[in-house]
Amino acid sequence: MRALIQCDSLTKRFREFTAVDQVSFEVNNGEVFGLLGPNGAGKTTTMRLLSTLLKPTSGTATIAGYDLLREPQKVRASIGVLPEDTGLYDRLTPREHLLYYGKLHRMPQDVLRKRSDELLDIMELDDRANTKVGDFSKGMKQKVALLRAFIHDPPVLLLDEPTAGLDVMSARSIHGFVERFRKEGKAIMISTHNMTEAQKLCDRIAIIDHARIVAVGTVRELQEKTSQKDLESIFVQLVTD
Amino acid sequence: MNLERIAAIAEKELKDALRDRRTILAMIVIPIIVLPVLMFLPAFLASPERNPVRIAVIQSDNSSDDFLADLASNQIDLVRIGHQENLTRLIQNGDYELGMVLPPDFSRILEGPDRRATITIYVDQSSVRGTIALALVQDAITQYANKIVAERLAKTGLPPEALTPIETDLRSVTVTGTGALFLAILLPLFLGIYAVTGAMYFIMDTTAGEKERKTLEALLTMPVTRTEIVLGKFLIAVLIALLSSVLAILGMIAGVVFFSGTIGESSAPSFSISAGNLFLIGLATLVLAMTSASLEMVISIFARSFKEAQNFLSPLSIVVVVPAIAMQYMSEQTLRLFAVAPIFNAMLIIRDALLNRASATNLALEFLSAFIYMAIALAVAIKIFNSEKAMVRY
Repeated sequence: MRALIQCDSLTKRFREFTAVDQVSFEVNNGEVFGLLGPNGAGKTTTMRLLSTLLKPTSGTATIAGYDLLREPQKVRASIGVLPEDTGLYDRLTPREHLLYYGKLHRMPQDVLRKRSDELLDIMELDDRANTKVGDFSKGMKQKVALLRAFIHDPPVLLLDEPTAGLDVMSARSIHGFVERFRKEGKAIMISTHNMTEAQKLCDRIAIIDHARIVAVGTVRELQEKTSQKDLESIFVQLVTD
Repeated sequence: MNLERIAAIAEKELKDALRDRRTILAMIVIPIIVLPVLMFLPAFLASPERNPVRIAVIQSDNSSDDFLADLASNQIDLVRIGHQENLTRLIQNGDYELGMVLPPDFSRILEGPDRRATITIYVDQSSVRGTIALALVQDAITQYANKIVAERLAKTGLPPEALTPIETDLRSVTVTGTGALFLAILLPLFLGIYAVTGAMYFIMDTTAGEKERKTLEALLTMPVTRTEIVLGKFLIAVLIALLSSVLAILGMIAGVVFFSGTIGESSAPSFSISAGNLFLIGLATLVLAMTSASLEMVISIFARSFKEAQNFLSPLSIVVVVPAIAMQYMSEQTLRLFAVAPIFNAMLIIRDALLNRASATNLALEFLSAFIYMAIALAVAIKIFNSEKAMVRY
């Protein structure tokens, strides 16, 4: 079976600067794939390429079998994106956000209402469902943005730094949510520079540095490759080599 | 293109806009309350009918009582004071709007067929109430003088016509009434300003603002085409511009009704308009809203932040005044040359409808050019929305 995310030599250049260079990997269903790298390594650009915000300079990728360049609308319908910034409307409530984005996915009204109630309940946001998100904490906003990515039940999830700047409780709640959807068979890609998060959540990790992937594998495979025990040491060795 | 998605975007934009105090302020509060009050309140407060002007009178004897009786009215409050030493200071201090010194033997002077009495007037002409008082006093003096002239003429056996050997017989050919010219100057200007400024804040917020807050980035990952996004936002921008124009007109009407009596109801100009011309004005207002919304969207999408959009768009509210003023001074031939200029074309339709001068050829040219500009602007907006360089910050 074809992987849900299949990246083939994906490259993005901004004039002289190469942000993503010949990146190839695949993510299968029921798998959490981590893109681990220092700031400016190309994590967010890779995420933006896969979410169709940017067009690759060369190479391509398929998501749920749809080509990034030829079928961007179908790709967008197959992905749920949590961008680096939550990108929520301060004057709308969590429920209004979910209903709005659900409508953009052309979900039937009754299915959409049921799904929003379910998601708000899972994330324990049901009692704040009708409060404007402008009044929310960073953690709560992140939860709403995550629900937005899940509203249409997409097979692929692209989560850019999902727990950056969050307190322990909010981060745990988001981790629980990711675990839950991994079990449902989604292909989940997470970009992060948080080693603990990567080790805890990811089935496989790609280490990206200076726009290139320097290693891909499970934590055990990376340990074997570098003869290092903890992920931090593995990471430091790979990016300084 | 999917209408359901355009409707969903439009619905969200409207909801978001109606919850934004700044949009409400620009769309409803300013046109319907602030501007009519600013326009009419000064006249209302300065009105002598509501608040009579105070005039200090200095008489040496009772010989001018007859004149003062004529002068007295509900708009004038006459106060006789003893001497004139402090008169200048009293007026400068605002105790009185005007001071008047009447000469002794006033009535006796006027009895002589060739004599002239001098009334000395003290007034501060930099004050609005002072100039109002002066106009009232001069008017009363002219009327009293005419009465004296008529008496003098009667004594010589000459009829009053002796002083006016030529009279004019004015026959107005205005179709729409004497108020039409006033409206033809004012309405295109006001509708132009509101079409441009009414939705300006919303447009900046929904394009450059969304880009800055990164909400647009989330929207661009949805399965909606860029055309659907532009059209959804454009629909609400037009609705807001149109609503603020209509509310501005209602505000002006409310202002006239509420403050009536202060703007000269006795000489109120007449005006009538046919249903067809009224429909044309409505249509032109819609076209104005559509043209300005599409142009503003293009400029605003191009901006990287709300503040930058503000810098780009703010001059438009001044620029729009230029054609409205310029068209008052242009000949009909010159005006036709500008019939295809954006904004100007819709303003011309409004002006011609008010003056009952609209012709099918001109209208076709004006509407067609307006729609071409709008289509070009929307196409450019969609192109910018499709450009990753303009839409996504790296």
